[in-house]
Amino acid sequence: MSADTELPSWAQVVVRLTVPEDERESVTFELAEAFAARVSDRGDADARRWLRRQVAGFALRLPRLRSTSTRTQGGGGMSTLASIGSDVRWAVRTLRRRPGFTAVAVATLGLGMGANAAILTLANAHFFSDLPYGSPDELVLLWETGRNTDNVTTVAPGNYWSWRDEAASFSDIAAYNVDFATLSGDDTAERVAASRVTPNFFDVLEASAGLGGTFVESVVRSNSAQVILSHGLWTRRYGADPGLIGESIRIDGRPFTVLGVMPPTFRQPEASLSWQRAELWRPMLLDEARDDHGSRYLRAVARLENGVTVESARAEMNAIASRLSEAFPDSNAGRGVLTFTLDEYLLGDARPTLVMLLVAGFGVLLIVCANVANLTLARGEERRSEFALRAALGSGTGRLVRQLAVESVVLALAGAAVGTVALFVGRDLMQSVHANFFTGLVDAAVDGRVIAMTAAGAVALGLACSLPLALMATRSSVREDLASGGRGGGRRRDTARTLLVVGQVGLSTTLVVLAALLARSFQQLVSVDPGFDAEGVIAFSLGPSSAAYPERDDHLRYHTDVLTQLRGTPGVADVALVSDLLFTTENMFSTVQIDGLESDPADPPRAEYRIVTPNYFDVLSIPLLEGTLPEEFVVGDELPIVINAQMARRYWPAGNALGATAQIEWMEPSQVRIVAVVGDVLDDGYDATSDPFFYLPYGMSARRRMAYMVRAQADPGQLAAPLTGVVAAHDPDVPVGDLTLMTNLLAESVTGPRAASGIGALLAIIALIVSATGIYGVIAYTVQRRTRELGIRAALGAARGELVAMVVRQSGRSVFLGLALGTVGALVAGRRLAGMLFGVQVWDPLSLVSALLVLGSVGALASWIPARRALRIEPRDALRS
Amino acid sequence: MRTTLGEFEQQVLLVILRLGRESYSVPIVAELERHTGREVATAAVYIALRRLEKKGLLTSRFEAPDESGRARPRRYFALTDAALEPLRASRNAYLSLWDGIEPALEDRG
Repeated sequence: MSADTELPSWAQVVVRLTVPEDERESVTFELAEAFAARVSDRGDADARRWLRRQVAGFALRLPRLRSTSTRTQGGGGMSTLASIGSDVRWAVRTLRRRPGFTAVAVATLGLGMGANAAILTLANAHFFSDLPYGSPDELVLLWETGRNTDNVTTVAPGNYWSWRDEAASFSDIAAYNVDFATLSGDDTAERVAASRVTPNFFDVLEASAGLGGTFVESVVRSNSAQVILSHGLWTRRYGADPGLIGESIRIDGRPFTVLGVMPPTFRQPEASLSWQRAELWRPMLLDEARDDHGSRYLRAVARLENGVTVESARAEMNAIASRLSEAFPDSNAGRGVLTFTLDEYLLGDARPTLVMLLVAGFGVLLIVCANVANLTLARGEERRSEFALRAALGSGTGRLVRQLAVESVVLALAGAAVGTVALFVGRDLMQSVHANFFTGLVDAAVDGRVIAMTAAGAVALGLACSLPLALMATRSSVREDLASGGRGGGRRRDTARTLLVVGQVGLSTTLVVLAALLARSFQQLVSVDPGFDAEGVIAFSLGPSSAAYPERDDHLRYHTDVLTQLRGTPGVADVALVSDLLFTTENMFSTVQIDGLESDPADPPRAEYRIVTPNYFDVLSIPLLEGTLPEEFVVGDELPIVINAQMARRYWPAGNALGATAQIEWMEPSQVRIVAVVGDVLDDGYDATSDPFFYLPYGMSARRRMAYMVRAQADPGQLAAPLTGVVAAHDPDVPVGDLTLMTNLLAESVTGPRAASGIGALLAIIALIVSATGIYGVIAYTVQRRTRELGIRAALGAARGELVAMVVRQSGRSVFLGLALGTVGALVAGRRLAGMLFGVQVWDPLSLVSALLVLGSVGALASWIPARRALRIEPRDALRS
Repeated sequence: MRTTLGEFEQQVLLVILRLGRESYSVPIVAELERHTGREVATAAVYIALRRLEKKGLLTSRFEAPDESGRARPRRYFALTDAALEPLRASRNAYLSLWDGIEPALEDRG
């Protein structure tokens, strides 16, 4: 019989783990010999099945294999692994015997570990997930700056070409823009986020199509009517039909050939969620725009040449930018270039928040740990005699400590399991929090790494929780414990317990205060007056195509006709036109030469503007502060404009804005007169301050795409169908876009801050529950242990009321110290949190006082209730207890 | 002190006795399976062998691989004289227990 057949490596591993070292060699060979015999007798498959059973037999008999070894010396013959195995079983048995304690501990740990796993998931997605591009570290985003500022501005095509021609730091640079496209055809028309890209766009990103291909410049030159679809659009609108490749679809009224479909993970390298999720890409060549250094509408992404650092690329781009400033002073004077790595631009903002959350999560874990340690300690007191006895009977200190540690780790792992399952259940919510608040470029998934980190954290936590108990166990002396009947006192232990109370109260206070601050921020954030009334308004946008409405007058007439028809629709109170919906990211800016105001010609006054019909302010209930609104569709040789209060304050601090004149170069006529001042509107979301803003009258100024704001007489939701009906009846080829209730738009603008504050509020609740139970647990326990002492005092004639007061006073001291330390901690840590707070100071009295009151009351109750209970017992019984 | 034997330990001892002077795990497992008619876990045999060695009923020697590489590393077990006494006692106990009841068992079978 040949024994040359080797055991499969997995079997060798199991043998190595289970069989004592001195036996391993012979067992391995003998098993291999039997296996070989089996293979030749019954065939390979049968032999493998046999081997699996045999090896499983080894694993199942691990402790006995270890404990029966005759030849291994020392430690009673038990290997670490085997004895840990038996410790685990012992721990499970012990925990099962005390279901109440185990349930509380596992639930507490589950809460803490679950919260941490959630934060870890965010951090994991953030720090470890690969962006959906090849070698993302080599990618940089290039932006221009505003004139003499560091503001990020889009790129002019002429500059893009100059960069492409001159920069040696990059292997290639691609440009793209973001806009919308209208899909039409057999189905209903649909407006989607879209992008035009230079043909090298996908090559620079090193992103290949999931289906079909991407753009090739030579092909694009002969036929530019090609389109690449997102996976989402392909699935949603075309039923994931693979036959769509090579077919023609209609976009903005023209036929395009579908070239490819991107994989579901592909996102555009953008900071804003809606542009990340562009749904289709069309090619652009930018050939005619080679010399256009003035109109800025591009974004640029570049791939670093091998071995070139971001710093040297940045230096080169700065040099190119200053050369361009000199060559094209009209368009480029004072403009620089900003070079960002993807991390800096797309993920950078979230880092401090994540770190803060990780710290907060860690704080919750510390409290949880303190809780469980206290609970275990309380139980440990019950088990003092057990420990002492075991030590006296020769159980080694190390062994005892290990057993306690294993018990604690088993608890923590059970908690981690509960937390992870909870996280799994809520993973969709996590995902949307991550996309809205951090980045939508990568998905936040509960993956193996998160689970591994959570499990590792549980082991560490378990070990940490077991420390105090282990210390106590090893210090137990038999004499002391047998003499004291298991109620061993000792000044040192009392000090330790006081420290525990102070530490727990302090940590809880810090955490609860910080979490309360976040929660308060959120409350402030949603109660800010946005400056307009969103209630009862429904909005949508219409953009008649340039094919059907080529001239300015054509689309002007289209909009005025539709406006008139909509105003006559039953249920409609009023309709206004506006060039951009509120809360859209891309606002229009213009420079304004204010008559009588000295300004730096290189940096003239700038303001955002919108084109509106004058009833816009009525429809949205934006207050008119001064002056009178212009007539609708006014025509004259002076342009009447409306400005917001912020612009009036900024440029006419003396309050004389009304009637002032200014020049807007590109308008016809360029002379404008301020006829009214209206209230500020929080346009960039709740957490932004309002900027100078002016409103141009629709008619004298026009835009192809206009948004309609419809104030309903009753429920605006009921108007959606009749409104789209009116639009379709007028011209079925113009799709209704962005149909939404203004209240929804308003709610969406706080999604990000809401997510952050929501996490904060959730942490606050968890911290509060965990802290309160923890503080109660530890104080109640210390008081309970004094039952005998209180009994003696009562027997000696002390008044019960006085005794209760004494107990409350004594634990009150520790609680008070904890509260004070915690407050200091909260103020110190709060400084770091300041950036995440909105409308709330770090020393927000409401947060501070409520946290202190709640935790202080818990502390008082925790000493009062058990003290009263202790005194209800007859002194005789108390003495005997 | 009187040594007691478990059923499996007894079977292992008997198998080694049947196999002759000394033996190692592979033939022991094979012989056990042949007599009991069911698969035997090698790990259980190892445990039994060790326990028996600890009780002084078996001795073992380790055969290291020689330099030619022909000999395999095996551990050979042999019965000690002390093993015979408990086996004998066990056999006697069984025989006396079985005495007179075998027909009854056959009737019911």
